[in-house]
Amino acid sequence: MASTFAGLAISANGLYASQSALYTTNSNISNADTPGYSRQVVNQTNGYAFSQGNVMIGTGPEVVSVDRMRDEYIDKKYWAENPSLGEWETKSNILLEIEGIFAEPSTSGINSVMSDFYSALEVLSTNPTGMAERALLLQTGTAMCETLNDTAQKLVDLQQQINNDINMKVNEINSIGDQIAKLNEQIYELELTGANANELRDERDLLVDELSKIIEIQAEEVKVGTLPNGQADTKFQITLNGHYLVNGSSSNKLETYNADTSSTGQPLYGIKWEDSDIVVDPKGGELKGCFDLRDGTGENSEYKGIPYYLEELDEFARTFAMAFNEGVYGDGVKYSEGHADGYGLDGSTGTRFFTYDNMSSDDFMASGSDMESAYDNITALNISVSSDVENDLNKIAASSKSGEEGNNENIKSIIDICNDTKMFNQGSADDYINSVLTTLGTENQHATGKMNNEANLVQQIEYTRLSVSSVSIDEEMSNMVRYQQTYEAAAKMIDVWKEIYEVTINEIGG
Amino acid sequence: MRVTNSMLSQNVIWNINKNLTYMNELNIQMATGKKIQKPSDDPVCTAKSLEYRTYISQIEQYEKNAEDALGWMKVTEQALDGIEDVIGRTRELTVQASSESLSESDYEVIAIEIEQLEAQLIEIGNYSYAGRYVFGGYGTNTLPFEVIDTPVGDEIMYKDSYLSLGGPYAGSVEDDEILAFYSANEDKILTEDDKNQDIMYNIGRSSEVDVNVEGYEIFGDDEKGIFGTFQKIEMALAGETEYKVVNDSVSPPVVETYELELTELLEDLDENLNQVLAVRADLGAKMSYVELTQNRLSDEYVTYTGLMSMNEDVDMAEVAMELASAQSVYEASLAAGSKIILPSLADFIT
Repeated sequence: MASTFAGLAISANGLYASQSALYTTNSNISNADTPGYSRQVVNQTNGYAFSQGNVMIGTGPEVVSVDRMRDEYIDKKYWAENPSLGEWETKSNILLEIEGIFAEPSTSGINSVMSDFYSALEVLSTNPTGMAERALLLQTGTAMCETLNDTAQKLVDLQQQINNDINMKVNEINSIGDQIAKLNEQIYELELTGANANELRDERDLLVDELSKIIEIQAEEVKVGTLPNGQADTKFQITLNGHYLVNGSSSNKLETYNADTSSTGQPLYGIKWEDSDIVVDPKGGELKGCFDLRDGTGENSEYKGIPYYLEELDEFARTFAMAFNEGVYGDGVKYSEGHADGYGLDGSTGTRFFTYDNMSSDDFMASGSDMESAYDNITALNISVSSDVENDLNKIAASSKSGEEGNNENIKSIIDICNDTKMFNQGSADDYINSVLTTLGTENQHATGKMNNEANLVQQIEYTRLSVSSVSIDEEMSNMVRYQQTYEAAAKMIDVWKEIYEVTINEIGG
Repeated sequence: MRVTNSMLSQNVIWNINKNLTYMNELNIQMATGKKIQKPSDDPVCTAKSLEYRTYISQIEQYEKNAEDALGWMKVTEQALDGIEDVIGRTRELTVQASSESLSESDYEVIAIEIEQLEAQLIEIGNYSYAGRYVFGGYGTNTLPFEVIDTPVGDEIMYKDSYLSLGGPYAGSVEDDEILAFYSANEDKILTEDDKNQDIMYNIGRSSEVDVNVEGYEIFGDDEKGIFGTFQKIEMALAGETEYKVVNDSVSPPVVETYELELTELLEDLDENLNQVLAVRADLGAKMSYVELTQNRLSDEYVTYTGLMSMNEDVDMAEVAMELASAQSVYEASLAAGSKIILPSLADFIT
């Protein structure tokens, strides 16, 4: 037998349910643009029924829970694809910077300072005694060295900048790991009480999105046991290279350490776990992009990163200096007379035009146990015109004999060296630089293509996710109208019961 | 599949962005006039573009070299002109001098003019181009020819050596004086090292030209040379009847004496003129080779600048068209976006 006021109670249940639904709709509409927000749906059943004679009468709706619409499987796909996007985005951006450093095609890059230098050689060959011509050769030679120095220095600076980025990204990972561990704890506590932690879970998923772009991780909620109330006891875990970054409410920290030094002696960071000496090697994400570009030598299937381009430039500086000075090419064979074989206006011979760090020709030759090892000291960063030539233009050896000031045979021999396609495996000095630039262009074309593909893929997954989880204003509006009407109907019922009670209580009692 | 508002707006943004990126690319192309801004835009095109630049810079330099070479050769040509005139005038004077009816003073007048003509030859031999002596081989900074006074008469020095130590000497000089002078100065004769000093200019990737003619090639370096002939004429005008030369094909060298005859010297002058003409023909051939090369270089310059432009310059009309269409696509995407984003059911519920 139902209570007298059962009608009111049922109506009240109706009001509550419609109200909850309206609140939820309201919240959905308000959060339509909140990043990471998953729309929520009121999960209501009809409440328990009571028997009235031999029929069962319903007691109206009961709100069981408010659930968020989210597909874990899509999230996992997103987290698996996002690291590739991070990696190629980083690579493409850094390669773009390297292209900027080489500044080609332009009128200021290596190619054009080399052309100027060659022109100055030609000009000197037509007037070997001219001081203005000699000064021009010194000036263009210096410009060529400085362009190489400058390009290499900028590459080294960029390498250091990437190194600092790695450090920043490690801090970011630690901070995200920290936040996720805290959220795990809050979610756990909240859900123990039977409440829903929708917003906290949204926040956590958003953080994992962020994390997955920085470094490749695996994230999942693992069942670790059963709670006293019979629900599954779960732990949210994030693993990185097989170690826990986050395990429930605890998180492990990463730290950078000086793993290596760059060619200029600057420390280069590696990443390891704070509580052990286990090294972390990023398999994907922005960090992998950073490591590949900072350390890639291009050898043994390594990526062609900054060390590769620096080595190419060093190789160029060394080989070109040796060919120019000695007439000896990369293969160690002397092909013709170089600068050191010729004679200056003052009868001097054995002068090296190119040295490093502004050394004098003699100090330079003494810097190694033999000629080859002296040239091994030359890099793109330190190549310079020798101090002998810088201090005395007469030392430029245009002549093939002492005392013949109008003799231009040696400078002509040097011009032939500069145009000789045997200097490098890739051809002449010009060809070599062009092939480096072609490699760089091709690499960046590839990286940009990969980045665009990955961006499309991730975008596609994001659409699928949005299709499930994001708020549709139209849908919410139609829901709003629906819930408003159920609310109004329930309120109307209360009106009806009120009249009934007035009759039963006031009239009958009177 | 549910379609939600964020999907719509993300999609709109994504597409607008794509269109904007493309439009930006076209804008940059339009502004710079170049298809490539960086190697990754088109690596092959970049490599080609750099190669063309190098070629063009080289061609420009070769053109300058060729211009310079021609300048040098023109000075040489003027000098040869001058020498021909001097030989011609000398021949006239020699013919005059060999006629019987001349007084002593006439001889003197002729002798003075001959001496002046010889001085003119020395002057021509010291011609310079842009501050460099053209006939001195590699010795471009030192005066090639000078006359010095020796115990055995005036002698011509070329690059600090005796141009012709073997004579001719006047018949009135004693043999042992000549031999003493000869052996004292044996180290001051032109060696092979002093000769064949070709100054080569590059006027193409694989073409070069030697721009200079050396003094001894024109003037000769023995008693048969121009200066030798002049000395003989001067001796004859001074009344000498014999001249002496040193024969060094035997050891020790001996002095040989020959008759001095003005009429015979006319033949020597003709020989000397032929030598000059031969040098001139050779020079003319070289000059036309350089001019031919200049034409080839300017053709190449046109070809390569054309190729470079084709390789890296944008077709303005084409880009303008593409830009206009990209702009309208962009505007269309904006318009579509604004229509999609704005209305929702919220607009229609009152």
